[in-house]
Amino acid sequence: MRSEKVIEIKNLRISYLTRRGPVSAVDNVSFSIMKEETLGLVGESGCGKTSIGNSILKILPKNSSIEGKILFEEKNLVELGEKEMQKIRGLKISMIFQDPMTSLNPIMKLRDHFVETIKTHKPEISEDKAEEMAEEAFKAVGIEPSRLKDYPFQLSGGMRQRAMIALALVLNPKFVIADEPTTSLDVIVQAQILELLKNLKEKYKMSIMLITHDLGVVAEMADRIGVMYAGNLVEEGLSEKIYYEPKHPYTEALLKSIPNTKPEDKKLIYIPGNLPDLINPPTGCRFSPRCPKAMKICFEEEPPIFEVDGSKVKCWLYKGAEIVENERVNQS
Amino acid sequence: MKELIRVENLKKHFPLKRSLIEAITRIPPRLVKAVDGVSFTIKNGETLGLVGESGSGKTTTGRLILRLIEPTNGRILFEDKEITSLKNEALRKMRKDMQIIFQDPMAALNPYMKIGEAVRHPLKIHGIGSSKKEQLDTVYNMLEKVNLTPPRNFYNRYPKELSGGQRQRVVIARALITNPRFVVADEALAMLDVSVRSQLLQLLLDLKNEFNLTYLFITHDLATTKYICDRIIVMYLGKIVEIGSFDDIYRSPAHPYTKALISAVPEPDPKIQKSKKKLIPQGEVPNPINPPSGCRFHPRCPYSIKNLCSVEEPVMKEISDNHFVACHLFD
Repeated sequence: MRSEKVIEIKNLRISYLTRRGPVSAVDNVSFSIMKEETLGLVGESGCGKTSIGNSILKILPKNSSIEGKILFEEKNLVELGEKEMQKIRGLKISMIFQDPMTSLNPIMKLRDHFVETIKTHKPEISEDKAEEMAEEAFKAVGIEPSRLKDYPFQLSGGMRQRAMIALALVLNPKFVIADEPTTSLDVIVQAQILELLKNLKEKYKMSIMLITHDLGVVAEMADRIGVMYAGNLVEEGLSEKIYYEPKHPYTEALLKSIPNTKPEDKKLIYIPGNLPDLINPPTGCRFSPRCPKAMKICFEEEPPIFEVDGSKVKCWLYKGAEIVENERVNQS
Repeated sequence: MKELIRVENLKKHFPLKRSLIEAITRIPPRLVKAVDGVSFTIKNGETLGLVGESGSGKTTTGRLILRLIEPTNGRILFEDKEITSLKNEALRKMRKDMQIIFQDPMAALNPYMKIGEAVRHPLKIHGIGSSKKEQLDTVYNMLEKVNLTPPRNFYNRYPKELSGGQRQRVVIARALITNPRFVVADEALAMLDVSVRSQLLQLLLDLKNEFNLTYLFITHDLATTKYICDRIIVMYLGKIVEIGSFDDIYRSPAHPYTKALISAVPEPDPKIQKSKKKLIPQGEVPNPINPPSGCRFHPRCPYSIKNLCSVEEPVMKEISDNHFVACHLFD
């Protein structure tokens, strides 16, 4: 891992305007991803992890508004126009989606997906050369290049996901966002795809932001993990630190509630209550209504981010530790 | 323990649509052999896990037992009584004792029906309760049991006003309102988030004890079977490959496919994860229209025996007490 930052996100806020009022989906999130690093972004549905991924490529729906900074190659993507974004999407930053069936065009041959992507960004490349690149990409993900003549529906689920990965990597982007890349796959195919992603990352020296709800998947891939809850990044640190020494009560509870693979450990632990309504998020810490360790201050004031033992934690339990970031200071 | 359900050589072949030419020339339709000869029993009060990947036939098996689809062949017995050929009224009466919890509560609930009415509906169908008041009391009671409290408040709400976990609680309440003996939970927790999934798993366990239920727990997620299943059946392409207690399957899996399934589960512990040896077979589940000859797993199996596995179909053998496997390695 190099110390050079590939992307830096600063005080990102995303909200969606709905009939019931604005939904604060991502609230003041800051983090960065280093060169050749895999950052796992984990959380349950509605925690804002996909919104963050989509905001980087600026593919959020129309009813959204976004504040803060997304710095990539010394540019703030938040302020960039659509024309300039098109030069980045697919070429420098690309995305692997959850469901390849809905992200590939069903009436376009796979070959044409590749030719279109390559020609859009590099019009100087001839069609033959583009096809050659597509064949290389297919070989790299373990599909027969002859399958380029097929339509997406002619491939099995696992192969479609491989084709998607090939398409995302064909122009050798330096940053890839993988949004639940294995969620719709069966467990054995999932293991195959994770293995493939790990190998490709080594080969192409890219940085990955892996968005998933599955802590097992994250542990297989990520160097660092960011845990999100209800729009907040509640904890961020090295994978081992997060797993063995979780600091935030939510991280701790989440880790306990996932089934491990030890057959003798059959105790069922869960987090009581439900996810909060983000139109009216709880005051103070957003996890406070479900937190077993909540104190008076947790219900009143939003915690800043403390640096504890190398990890960053947004929790009042660590009051007194060094503050990495205070919302009010940063906002001025 | 007495046996509650017995399934013998159950088969379900779905015919594929023929082309016009195929129909005119009377070429018989090709068949998808979704379930191709499975036999097992479920004991009273136990939870039997049915695991496998998509296309293994686990959902079809669950629906066949409930007679939601007609079997092509085979017998289904409920308390020693054959239910395979029950019709109309008799079938409807039997349904009181056998219920199902579906995967997607949004699809299983009528969006225009108040959730209380949805839960009361089975009482109306089966004529349980002498008055509306009595039925309402039963519904309130059940809503309370699944932790939708206060029940009177929840009764008048619509599915869209509830969270995913609450909706699944409604589906559970509706399945249990007729006081069934046997419940098929078909990927009942698959769509829920981890923190909510464990809550509902606990609820299913509590309800099982309270109402003395027998579950058929269908899932693709081996990790959740640990908390609820007494025994596990592993299916591959319409066939059972292994049957055993939870411990048999987890600690000493015998079939190469079972081994692969277990080793493919992502391990959250970084230390175990790094040291774990993975046995991931190549390729994917083949097309069930034209399944491989012999043992259906042989093209992907690392231990496949030449001139045997591809030719001869393995039969079920008991390798230790109540641990069965269909694999030539144990001949």
